[in-house]
Amino acid sequence: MPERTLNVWRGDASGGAFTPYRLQAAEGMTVLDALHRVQAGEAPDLAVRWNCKAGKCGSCSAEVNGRPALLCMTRLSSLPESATVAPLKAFPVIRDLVTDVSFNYRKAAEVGAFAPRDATMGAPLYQEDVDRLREFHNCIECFLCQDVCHVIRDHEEHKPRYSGPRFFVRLAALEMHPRDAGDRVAFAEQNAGLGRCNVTKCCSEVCPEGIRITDNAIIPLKERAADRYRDPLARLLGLFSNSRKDA
Amino acid sequence: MAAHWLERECDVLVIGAGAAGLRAAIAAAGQGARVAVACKSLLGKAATVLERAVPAADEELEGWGALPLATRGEKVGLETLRTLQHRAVSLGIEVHMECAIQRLFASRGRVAGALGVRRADGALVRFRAGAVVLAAGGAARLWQRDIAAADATGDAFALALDAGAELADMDLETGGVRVDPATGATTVPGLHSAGDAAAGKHALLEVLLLARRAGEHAAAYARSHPRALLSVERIERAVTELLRPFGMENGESPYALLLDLQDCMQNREGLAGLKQRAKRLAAAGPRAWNPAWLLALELRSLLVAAEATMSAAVQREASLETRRA
Repeated sequence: MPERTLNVWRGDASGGAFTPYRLQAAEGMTVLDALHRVQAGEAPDLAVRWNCKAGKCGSCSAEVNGRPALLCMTRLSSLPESATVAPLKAFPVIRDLVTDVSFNYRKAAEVGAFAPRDATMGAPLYQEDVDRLREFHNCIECFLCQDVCHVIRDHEEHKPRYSGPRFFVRLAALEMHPRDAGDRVAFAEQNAGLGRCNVTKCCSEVCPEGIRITDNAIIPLKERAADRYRDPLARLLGLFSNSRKDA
Repeated sequence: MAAHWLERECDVLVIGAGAAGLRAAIAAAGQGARVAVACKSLLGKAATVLERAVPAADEELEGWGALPLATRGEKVGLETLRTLQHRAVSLGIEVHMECAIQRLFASRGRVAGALGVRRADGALVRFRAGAVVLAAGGAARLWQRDIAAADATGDAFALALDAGAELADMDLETGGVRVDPATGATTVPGLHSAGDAAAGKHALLEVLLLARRAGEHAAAYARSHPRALLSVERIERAVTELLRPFGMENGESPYALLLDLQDCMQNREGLAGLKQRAKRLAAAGPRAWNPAWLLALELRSLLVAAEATMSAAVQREASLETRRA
């Protein structure tokens, strides 16, 4: 088995550095397996989140060779002999590979609940609705899309009024659910900062569930927002008609 | 160093945030109780995401925004967990993420709160609570080395015994905290249990139904009984115990002890030696997000679960022998 070096960022909010750990890679070993071996050996206090080890829970998010990834789904064999493992850059470090992702839970609380009304609860949910929504509901909340989104990553000043791709997916899921009566387009536009996204598709590229975040969630939301807020004819017509969402 | 901890207060403390814990929390909040949920991981990461047995339908979950469960295949656990998570958050239920409850207190035979470790900074947090719902899952980690839910370390069993509650059928897959299925009540007043933590093997929709009852009854208990009082000395003693691994010189590695315990579950021998070694578990480094310390604390629960499992098996064999004789 080949010998490998993992350069793991160790430190806390006050600073840190990469520490090299050498180990023999076993067949099929993932980066998370390797980190567990390091914990059992020379660095028992190496901090890393993990739960299911199966790519289903989205706990072990980090950056491997600069790319956002789930540690339990990244095999050492897919990496060069020497690789770096660093915490998510978009969120404050707690310790080593563990970051403070509470930003995402605050944004989740702002979105609010699924909001049916008596009138909408009886609305049919056709197979095509389910087919469209299923993808959005597959999100494992690993926050890799949030990490790679340049608005969150590079613009601290926008964070109070920008929710990020994970929540555009959630808002799209609610907007396209025939039984939800909340005004999700207004929220996306006015509270979640939808306009700040400039559709570079980085979020879609890193999604471990393959959710087409930009094409299927963000762009449809942007189209609906544009129709409502930026199309003068639609605005005029809107004065005389009530759409389902406004009823 | 004087023992120091943070204080939190609620009517109902729910320990665990999988399907059972969240459903219980929603039910208790629906009764007007002030609910706090404490879970070891981030919200939405519970072992429920691995659930694959697909129920036909659940009107309640669909009313809260879930897609029809029958359309969700192997994602049915995720669909259930996420729906309950959104519901709980929208109700304003207080969630203490990454707060690992380590001790459950009873006073004069009634439940009197809990003590946990906040992973982020290693702070100790004492919860005063009128009632508690134990929904901390099972002890799968005793058996599983590879694909495993990290959090399933048998905490519910150790916590139940702390408070004086009974366990049942621990040698069987259905084993857990003994409860009255009509109310989720354990043998200790004010303490309820649901989900994998509770005795009785249930499919997903039954788990939700029983957890709802546990949450409602916990809220009713908290409303109709004065809070049990607890002496400061007992909290101080627990705090000292929890911090012991930091002072241990030339102690045992928690990682090595876990591997040996998993072997022991296969061979069925050597548990007494492991319990001795567990007294000398060591953790170096800071208290903030220290996985060696957290595992050392979890090993108490794992050892309790191991011992309960093995002694239940021995008793069952003896009882079968007696009947055969």
